[in-house]
Amino acid sequence: MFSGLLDRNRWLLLVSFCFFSVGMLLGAWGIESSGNDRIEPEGVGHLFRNNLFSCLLIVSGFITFGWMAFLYLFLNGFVLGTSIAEQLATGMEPFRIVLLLAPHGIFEIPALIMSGAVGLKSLDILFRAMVRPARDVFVCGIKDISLFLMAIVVFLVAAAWIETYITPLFK
Amino acid sequence: MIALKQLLYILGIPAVLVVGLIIGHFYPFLYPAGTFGLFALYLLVFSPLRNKWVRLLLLFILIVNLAASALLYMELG
Repeated sequence: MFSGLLDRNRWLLLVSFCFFSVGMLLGAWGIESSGNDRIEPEGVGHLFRNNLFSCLLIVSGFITFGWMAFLYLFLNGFVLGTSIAEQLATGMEPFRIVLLLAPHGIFEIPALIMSGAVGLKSLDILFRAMVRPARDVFVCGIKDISLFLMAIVVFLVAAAWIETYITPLFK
Repeated sequence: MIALKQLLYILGIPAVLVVGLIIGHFYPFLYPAGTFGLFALYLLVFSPLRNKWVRLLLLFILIVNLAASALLYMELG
């Protein structure tokens, strides 16, 4: 089920990943201020709500012909890139940064990229409907979106739990 | 004649978005309906895709953006 899902949406996932990566690279490259305005986690629920809000902003690309998906994927990547560059600038070891980011990032970043795929899905449906039977494209699109949304929620719960209970062990 | 119609349709795409941005600049609560809602309406009316499912998707986008504008109006008002 999920292998077919990834195969059908590989271009959307790739485009989302590219936007996220470009944002991250620009964030790391253009670091200037080291503002201390990051959110301090107050539990699994708080982190989950924050991440879900970010993902929903990206998913709203579905009703804005992909615009919000592009914008917020780029912004999320930018914030992550800035954060990594700031930590490196303060002298933190790269391995420690990986330890702090990787355990929850391995769930959170795929959730963001899948949200990007959902955000770009309306454009995908419109373009595919030009060359294939529109009903099939539409039904397949709705099925893919449902599966992606379920996977996003599961990934975000896992990321929030890990960020609350596992990540502090490496601080 | 058909080529002219297609050219006008393609030229209309950025024109609709620019009009939406201008409307949104003067009335911020109209940003969703004026940009993406208007764009969906443009595609709904003039797009060569005359399929029921595509029109449903465009109608859904139009309605959600209209609802977003209405919510923004109530919040800003």
